[in-house]
Amino acid sequence: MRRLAAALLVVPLLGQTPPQRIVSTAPSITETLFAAGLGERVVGVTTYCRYPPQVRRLPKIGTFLEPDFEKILALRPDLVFTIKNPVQLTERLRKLRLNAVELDQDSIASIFRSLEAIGQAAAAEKQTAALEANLRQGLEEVRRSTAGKPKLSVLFVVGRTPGTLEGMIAAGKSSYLDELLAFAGGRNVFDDSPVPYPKIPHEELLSRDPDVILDIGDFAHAEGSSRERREQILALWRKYPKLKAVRTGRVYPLASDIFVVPGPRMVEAVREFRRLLHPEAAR
Amino acid sequence: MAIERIEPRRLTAAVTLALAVFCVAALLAPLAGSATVDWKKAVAGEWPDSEILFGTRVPRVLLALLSGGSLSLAGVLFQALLRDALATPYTMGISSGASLGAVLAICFGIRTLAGLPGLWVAAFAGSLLTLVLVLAIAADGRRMSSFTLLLAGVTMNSISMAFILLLHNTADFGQSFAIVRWLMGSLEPLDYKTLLVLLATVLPVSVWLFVKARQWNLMAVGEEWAAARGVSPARLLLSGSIAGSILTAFVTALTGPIGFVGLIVPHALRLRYGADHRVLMPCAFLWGGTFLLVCDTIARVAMAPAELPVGVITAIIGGPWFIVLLRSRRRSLWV
Repeated sequence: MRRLAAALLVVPLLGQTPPQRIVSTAPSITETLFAAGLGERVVGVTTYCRYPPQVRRLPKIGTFLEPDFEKILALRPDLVFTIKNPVQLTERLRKLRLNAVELDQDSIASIFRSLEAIGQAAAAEKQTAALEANLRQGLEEVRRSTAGKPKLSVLFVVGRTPGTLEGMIAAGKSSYLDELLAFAGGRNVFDDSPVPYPKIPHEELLSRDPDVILDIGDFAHAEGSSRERREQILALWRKYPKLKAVRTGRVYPLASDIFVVPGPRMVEAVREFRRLLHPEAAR
Repeated sequence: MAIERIEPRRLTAAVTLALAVFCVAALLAPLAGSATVDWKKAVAGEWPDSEILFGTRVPRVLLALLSGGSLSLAGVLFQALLRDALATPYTMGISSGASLGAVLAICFGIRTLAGLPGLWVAAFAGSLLTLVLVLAIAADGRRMSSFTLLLAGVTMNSISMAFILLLHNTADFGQSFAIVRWLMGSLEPLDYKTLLVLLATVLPVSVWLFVKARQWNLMAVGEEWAAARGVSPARLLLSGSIAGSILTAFVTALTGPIGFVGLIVPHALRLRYGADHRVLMPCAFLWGGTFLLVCDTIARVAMAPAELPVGVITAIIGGPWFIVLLRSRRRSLWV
């Protein structure tokens, strides 16, 4: 049935052959395509795409908010994947008579839905179904291993003014990170926030006094970090020595885009959370 | 054409009222917040109540009062110096210079400079550099006209904004996030040492401006008018712009650009009290501080536990209120 749907979708535009020249307009799409084994077919990615490492050598089409349409056209793609976005990218690509497919990847459920959509559009359902099963199994394994553990309250700092504790942005309710934390035996201290990524006042930090603080605020963009950088971040937090997480040494500066790119590396992210929250549950 | 002088009794009454409201607001605002605080524990120094009250709310209240006061005072000053009703503390390009500095610090990952957060230092340096450039462009020998000063400021504004857009375009995602946040402006609980430095700058500059109020009156009417009364317009223009820019630069480095305070508070006061700077300036400082404090308190509690950018509140509350004032005005908005 799905095969049929995919065929109906693809046939009128392309004839019988599955798309061979795919352009990705977001890091999460790029990662998904490579994880599903469709990397060979990717001919263009964004300047933000850095994973897996081989994508660095692929032609860049700009960023997902400001794509270079000429470059995209010059790559002669037979399939362009876009993320739901405010700049009507999909419509603009379709006006250029490109085969654009819009995906939504801002939650775990939507990532799985996007996998199916990718499978259909690229006529690669076997590969995407295998990836989906693999990811579900990974998440389930982590969930099971932390099921009996106490739920630790976690503050996830996703942004702040570099070099200070000011302008702190946390992961709030129904954000992607909030979902991931739940798998790893954590409870987001700002799961009552009316917005997904709230700016939080310091008094909320003090009164909620989380068990664990995960801080990617200084360098959401940087991969890896020196011991020195970690030390600098921990020093910032010592401004509040009586915070539980500071007192018990459970402030963890993190530096990896696995936490900010919603995609197939979510299992890696969840395992990393488990290692930090419940090290005894990680094997 | 001269400015109508305010009577001494009205002057005293206006300043007393402004000061009273300022003090009451300063005392009440720390009581509001998203977290619940046990006052007894807070005063007894128990954690976290005491830290919430004295470590986060009080410093933020002080910052709101000082920055709101400075911006609004600088607004009055620049409106007089440039004789432009739409002049703000940012017209001379000070805030875009600060923003450019901050954006550079973000993009090049400068986290600390001279032991201070790199953002502050870079933003402050950016505004001072802009000030020097604007003054150099506007200076023509020993003369300087407010018109060229205004145009130089507007031009520097555009150039800085262009560089900011350029840098933003090349920034990665995390940097881009930090840039947008900075450009929104926000008040944060700073440490008391920083607040003391801010106070030690703002207070003398403001007092100097109050003392010079008669001269600003002359400048607001016209440079020829000032010159005819034995005042050197070029020198006033120079010293005034430097004083106003220092106020703006210090505040902006710490808070980012916060719009509207420097525009509507001065005009609201002009509508109420007339254009005499002897009453406008102290009242602008006191009411500006109060206004920003009220807006920031709303920003802190309206969507708790999330916070709103204070600039959103200043515009949403200030805008309609100002329109009502404009519609009911009895006197001319200008001079």
